[in-house]
Amino acid sequence: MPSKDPLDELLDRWNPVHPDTSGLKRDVWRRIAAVRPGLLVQLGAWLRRPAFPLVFAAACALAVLAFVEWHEAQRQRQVNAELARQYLRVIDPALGAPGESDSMDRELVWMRDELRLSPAQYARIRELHETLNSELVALEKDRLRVRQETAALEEERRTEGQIDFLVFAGLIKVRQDLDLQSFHSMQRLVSATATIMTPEQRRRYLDYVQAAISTPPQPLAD
Amino acid sequence: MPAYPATDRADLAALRRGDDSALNRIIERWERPLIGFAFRYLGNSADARDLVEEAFVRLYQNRERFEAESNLPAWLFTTLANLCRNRNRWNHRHPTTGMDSSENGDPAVSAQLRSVEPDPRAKLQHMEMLETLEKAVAALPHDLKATLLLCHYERLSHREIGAVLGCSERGIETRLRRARQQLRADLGLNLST
Repeated sequence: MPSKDPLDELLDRWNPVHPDTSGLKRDVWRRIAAVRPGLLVQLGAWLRRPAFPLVFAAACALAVLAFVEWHEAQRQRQVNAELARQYLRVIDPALGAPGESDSMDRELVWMRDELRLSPAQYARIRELHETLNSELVALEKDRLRVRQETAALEEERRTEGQIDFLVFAGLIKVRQDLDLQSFHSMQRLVSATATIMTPEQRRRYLDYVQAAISTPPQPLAD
Repeated sequence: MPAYPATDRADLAALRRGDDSALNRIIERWERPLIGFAFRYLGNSADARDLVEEAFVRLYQNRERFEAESNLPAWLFTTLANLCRNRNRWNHRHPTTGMDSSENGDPAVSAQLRSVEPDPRAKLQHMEMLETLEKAVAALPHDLKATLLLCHYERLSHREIGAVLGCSERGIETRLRRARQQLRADLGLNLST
């Protein structure tokens, strides 16, 4: 049997009496209590937790998604508002009736998407609006004619210093009748359109057109 | 050094979950090996106990940073070895008279013979040799001293010591050889490896 290395023997014999370990736990807890980290240190420790980078990345991604969603909703709201104004311009004589070349396609498609109209509802509403559009175009032609006649009378008043006020009053009456006719046409259209819709669709539709249908044209000043 | 990998992992996990009693179990398991290491390293019982307590305090403060597979004894010995090195430097820069040093002849904490020598002269010779050994170990550089103590007394493998000291297994072998060579030279032991 080989003899043991004297250095190992000596190292084995170096067996000092260990310090007393009694109460070490208590002292450790006392020191821990004495150096309890402050709020900032605790926050730092929390930030260093392995889960934090994941939570942070997820929170950033959610924030970006929320922003994109909000931005898209804002943009859509602006588009809707513009289309709603366009629609009102089409059906409201006070805002200016459409010309012959104007098409209501965009506004009707907007209404279909915005109010989630079924294909059957959309077809009937489109038919109603196309009929009205013809009426409005005819009314606009009459209004244009009356405007031209009124302008001619005004020119005559300026050049000759006098006009036939009976003719002038007659033209004013015709303009009022045309405005009222347009207004009633629009009210009929809105009423007929609303009838085709479900209660929820109707509520939202009337929100859009409320201002137009509740304000009849004012009599022209003499 | 006894190994309790499963128990260590379970207690570390409990500590991370907020179960403070797990620290008590860890202390019970590791206080003696740590104290033994620190005491042989520093030759001072008060310093050894102070640094072991500090190592456990740091373990508690850093409990959130441990992962499921963290090696608890490696972390404890790494922390303690660094604390011992720093304290040793401090002691060298600010020398005081240690209560436990063999120079003071304190029988309670100075080197003891494990077996009783029948011959008083032989016993005295051994005690002198052990005092010389203490001084020779104390004179070793940190890397060599820590390697020797972890290998000879804590029975850590070269790989485990490498994990504690941040060194390769080959490096640990080299350090161990150099430590033993230096001790032999200091002790006047003209023997082979």
